[in-house]
Amino acid sequence: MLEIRNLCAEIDGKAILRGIDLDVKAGEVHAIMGPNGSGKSTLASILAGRDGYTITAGSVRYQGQDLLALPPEERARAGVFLAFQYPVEIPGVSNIYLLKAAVNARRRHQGIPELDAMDFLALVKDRVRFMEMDESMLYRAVNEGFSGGEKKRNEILQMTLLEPTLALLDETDSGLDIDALKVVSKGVNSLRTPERAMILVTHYQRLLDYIKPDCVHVLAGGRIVKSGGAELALELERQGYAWLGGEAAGVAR
Amino acid sequence: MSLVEHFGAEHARLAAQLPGAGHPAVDSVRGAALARFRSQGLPQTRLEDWKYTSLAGLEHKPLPVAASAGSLTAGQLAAQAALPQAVHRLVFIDGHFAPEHSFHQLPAGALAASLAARLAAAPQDGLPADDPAASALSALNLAFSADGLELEVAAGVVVEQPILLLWVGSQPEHSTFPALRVRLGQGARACLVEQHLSLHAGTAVNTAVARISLAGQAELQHIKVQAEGPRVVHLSDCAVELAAGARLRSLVLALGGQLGREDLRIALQGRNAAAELDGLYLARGRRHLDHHTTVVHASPDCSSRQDYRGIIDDAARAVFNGRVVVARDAQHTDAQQTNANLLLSDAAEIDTKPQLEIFADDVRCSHGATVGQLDAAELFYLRSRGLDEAQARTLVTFAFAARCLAPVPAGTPLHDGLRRLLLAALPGGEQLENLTP
Repeated sequence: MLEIRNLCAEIDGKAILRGIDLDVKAGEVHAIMGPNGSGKSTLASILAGRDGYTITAGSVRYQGQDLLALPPEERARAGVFLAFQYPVEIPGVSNIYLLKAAVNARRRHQGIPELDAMDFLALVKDRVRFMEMDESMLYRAVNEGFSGGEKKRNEILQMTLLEPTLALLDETDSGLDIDALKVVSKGVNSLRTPERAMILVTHYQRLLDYIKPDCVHVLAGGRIVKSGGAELALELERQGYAWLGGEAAGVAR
Repeated sequence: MSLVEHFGAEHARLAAQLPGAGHPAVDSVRGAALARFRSQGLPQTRLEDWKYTSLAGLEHKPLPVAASAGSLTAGQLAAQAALPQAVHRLVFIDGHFAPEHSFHQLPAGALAASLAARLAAAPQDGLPADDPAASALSALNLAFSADGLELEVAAGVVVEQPILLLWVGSQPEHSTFPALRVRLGQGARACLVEQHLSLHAGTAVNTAVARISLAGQAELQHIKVQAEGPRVVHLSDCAVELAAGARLRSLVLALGGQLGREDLRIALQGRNAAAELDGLYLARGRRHLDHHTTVVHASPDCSSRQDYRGIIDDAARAVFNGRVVVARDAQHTDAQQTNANLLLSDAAEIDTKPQLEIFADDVRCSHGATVGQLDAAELFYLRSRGLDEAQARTLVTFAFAARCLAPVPAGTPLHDGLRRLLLAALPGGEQLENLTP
């Protein structure tokens, strides 16, 4: 589904990614771990189409398409979803307004009829209950005045409504208490199907207790320095990044 | 014929028909006002307060005064009103009261009267004297004052539902002179929603004056919506006096017109009076919108907060001048002012200036002005959810604008109505309407 080849990117002339190679197949969940500053969030942002990065080499193919050539909204409609590390507040725009716009943009792209107000409301209320959120948050401005945990739940709520093909979760576990972490994980796990793939960007192993990855990659200094199965995350948790030596340890300092 | 001569001739033509004409208490005020306009003429750009706003275009096309009301249908009003289901609605067409479109259920102690009716019935009560501190346009309004609304709410009386006041321009090629007088007694409370709108796309000049006085502890929410037609010049002067403990919440939405000028002058005259002024100007196309606020802290312990926002697109131009005067005795003044502007095109222009004149020493005064573009993080967030760029830009613009609605309780018909007007006026706003929950 996703093929990343030798991806190199920089911001303001500073190299952040220095040759990423990664294959993600349908049905797989990949975790990308690594010390702060290793380039994990940059990778997620570039895949979603955020401005401000210069791609200096490499390619990304998603379902056979050149992903990097698409503007962010077309990636979203084609099924790429980024759950933000820092969800953005949009005052004056109600949450339900955005949800409806997003769902219908995706449906138009898929060539299926837009949901009418009643059907949409029924669907969204069902997902709100599933995410153990209060219905009143639908009518509040997008993320405005939400606690850290509410913002993250709101990201996953959007994800369960948009039903992406490729979900990118950027540090979704950061700032969550254990109850919120369980709900967020429940939301993510509900979307695990053989057709869907996920990339979890995380600093800590904790999230992986709840969402079991198929592959774990360690990113350091803009490169994947080690890949393995779920057990790699446990090893990182026990030993930190230092045992990887060289570049990983250097960046972690 | 110059504009001054034109209005001299118009006055000669109409003076005898104006309500209350023939009574010295009325004639003397109109006469004095005309004399001031004659001697001063239209404000010129050499005046500091009019530096960026030229009225020279008005000289070339003198428009006759609308001596009577045109006609309109109920449907036209319902379609455009900020508050379609108003309980109290007073309609003036081309400056003249339209009883057939007006209704209210005001409580005892609250009185809404047509100025024309009052002048006909009791001309000896006269007209309020010309305010020399206002521009010559106010004098011109007074010289032709034929009708308008006089709203009085007696001490202790609370009007729960908003009072909708519609000033409708129905005929192009006319000058209109609406007048508003509001007096709230001790502890009285009311919400007045004033909306200027045009039912034609032609030229017109609407010169409006409002005089508001709030007795001790009185509370007024005053919302003014300028939604004039694309070729209308809207010139407005609103002065508010607040006695001790009175509170004003003012919201001005300038959404239409070809040229708009709003003078809002607040006098905090008694201790603990408070004024909150919010404003939004939306300048598109070649529209020119100028907002001049003046807040005079004349007494100690008063507070004022101003938050004006501007959206300027295309080749439009906007002006904000926020003047705050703190008198020598006005210790413990708390005065804040912010002016935030979004410039959406290279040709758009904003001139913003705070003007603080502080003569007391124990005060807290702040001001800040920003000029910027749409927030990139907000745009990316929306696009990453599948909204196209144009839609995301409109939403982020709307988010910026909608903050001015914060003083209006969310979920009320008034909030919904203002939101709808705002959306309709925004670039690309029409494509967002069907997204409303």
